Amino acid sequence: MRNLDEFPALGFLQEMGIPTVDYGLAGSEDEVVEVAARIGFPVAIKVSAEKILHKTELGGVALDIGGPDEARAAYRRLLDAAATSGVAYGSGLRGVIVQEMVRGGTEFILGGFRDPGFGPVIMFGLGGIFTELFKDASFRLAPVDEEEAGRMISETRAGTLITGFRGAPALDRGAICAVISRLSERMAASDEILEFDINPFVAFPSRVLALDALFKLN
Amino acid sequence: MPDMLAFFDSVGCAVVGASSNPSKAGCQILVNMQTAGYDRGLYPVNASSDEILGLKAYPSIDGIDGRVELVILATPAAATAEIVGQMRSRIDGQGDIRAIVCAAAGFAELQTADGIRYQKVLLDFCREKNIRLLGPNCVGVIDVKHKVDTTFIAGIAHVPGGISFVSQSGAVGAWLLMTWAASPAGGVGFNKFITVGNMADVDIIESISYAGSDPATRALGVYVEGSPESRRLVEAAAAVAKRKPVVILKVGRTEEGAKAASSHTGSLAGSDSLYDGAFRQNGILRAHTVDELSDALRAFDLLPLPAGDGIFILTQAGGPGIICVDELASTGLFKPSLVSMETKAALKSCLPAIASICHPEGHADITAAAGAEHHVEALEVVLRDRSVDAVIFITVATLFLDLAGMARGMVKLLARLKKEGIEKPVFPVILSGNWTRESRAILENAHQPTFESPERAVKALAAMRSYGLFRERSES
Repeated sequence: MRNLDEFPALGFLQEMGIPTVDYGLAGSEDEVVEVAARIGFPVAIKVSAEKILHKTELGGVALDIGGPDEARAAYRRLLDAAATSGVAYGSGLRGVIVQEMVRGGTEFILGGFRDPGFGPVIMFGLGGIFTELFKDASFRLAPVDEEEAGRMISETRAGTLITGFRGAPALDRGAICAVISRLSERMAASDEILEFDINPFVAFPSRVLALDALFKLN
Repeated sequence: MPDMLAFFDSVGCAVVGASSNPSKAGCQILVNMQTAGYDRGLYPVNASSDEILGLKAYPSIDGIDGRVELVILATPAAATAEIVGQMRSRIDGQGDIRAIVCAAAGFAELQTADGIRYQKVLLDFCREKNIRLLGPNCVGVIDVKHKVDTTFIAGIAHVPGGISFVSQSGAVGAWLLMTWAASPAGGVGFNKFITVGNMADVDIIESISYAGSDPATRALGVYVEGSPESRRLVEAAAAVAKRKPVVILKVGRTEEGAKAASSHTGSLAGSDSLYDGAFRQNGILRAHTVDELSDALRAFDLLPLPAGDGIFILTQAGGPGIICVDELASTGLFKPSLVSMETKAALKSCLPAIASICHPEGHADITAAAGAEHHVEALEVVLRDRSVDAVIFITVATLFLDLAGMARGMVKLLARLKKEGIEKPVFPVILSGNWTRESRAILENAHQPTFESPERAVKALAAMRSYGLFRERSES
């Protein structure tokens, strides 16, 4: 069994053809600036370590970094935060992930796991920090086609956000359905994926992006 | 392995542990077999009687001279080895036993070494001789068409119909049947009834497939507490739901999912949301109470599916009509019928002057001034309107309303419209209590179900509409 934290998980999603935020790994101040320049400021910078699954809680995330000096300072700050959790180069630290700073969009969660009785199941729900509070999610047995994925979305209150809640533009429903369907087919096709969360999975009027993900593979 | 037919079409049935003592299951089983009209040879087995309930009794199963294809066990579990011995010597001679219903308790459900051993002895014998076993610790089966009732549930009305019911709980099955026996017409038609008990051999999944594939089953009801093979269970029900409605009362929760997963996704799956999703995915309807289950099954068995989402509420009383409007709105499945000007004019001309017609749309309050004929005429006008896909018909009994006359009028009307090809589901709610039983019986005897309350009528209608939508999308 193998856990994929954010960095390898985003790579895994890209291999599956699922759109992710633009990102890169950096192992030094210079590299952070280099990657950020390629992606374009502002960026988000996050600690990347196999052991650290919940980065926000330990101060491992720096958002809205506007330029090179800020990026260098953020890098040093994140390394300090990691060190207080016992993670450093040589002891589990991979470096930092530099990501495009995504603004706006609506956060959903996509997930899947293997239930002892039902086998592979797939989930769509409200994402972000309120996921566990509202428990607004719907499940299906994998695989599902795009139409069934659409019905999953319609069953949740979060689904209302997609049609353009309170004058907001409608979000790219078709793209969300396609991603749900593709993940469900992958879950059903083999037992490679034991469990995953893509949270947040951000939707815009004309595109969708996985911002963060965790996978447990066989 | 032979299929479950042996439980239903047997020629010859031995009741081991038969008794003339009405407080024993072995007595009620005989009574039920007789009441069901089983006429293919019924043999009480009891070592200390010559005759039970007018039937010749036998000291041992291997001494019965007629053919015995079905054996019902109502003896203490401790007697299992001895009875298996008798059945073995019978099989070696006549070779006739095909199925055993073990109604007795005291087997593996106790989780004692003895209980587990008794069950194994019985099951091993069945496997060796290719005999199907139901139970132990089950209420058994009923098949109205084949005139079989191996249960010990008192007061069952064996009325033929299209509902089949498969239950993991004998008591819930009994509850449903006793409720039906107490309905205004004195019974609700059904086809097969199967309770599975300990599921040593026949399990809930096989029972779902079997009862569902029976051509005489028009609607399948299931009570299930849980199955380690939940996906197979859903697949079995889904295969049935492709052809006919399946309504499942699923109780209990699936905590295993939550325990097995450490992700957000796993923690969100902690309730029975997996069953919810799997049912919706496959057009399987979920009931949350026995009443909801019963109402939906009766509606599916006897009423045509609504062709669309246009609903007309025809009410003689304000309050119950408003309750109905609220309930319909909460389903999110319907809209009020927008009937034509002609329909509105026809309603106006056939109803008392104070009637409120289509304020709001899809709703007519014919008022307490309405007589029996007003009810029937208004129903006809509404059913003839093309925008109306289903009618909820509510009336509150008044002293001066001829309820029986109204019910007879409705029966005639519905028969006449059917001849013309107008078949739409009508959900009569005649409020309330014993006062209305006669009129409800008239309708139900004419295969028109009635409902206890507007809310229950709406739930049954919503189940029908959900299933109709599923069929539309799976056939398109």
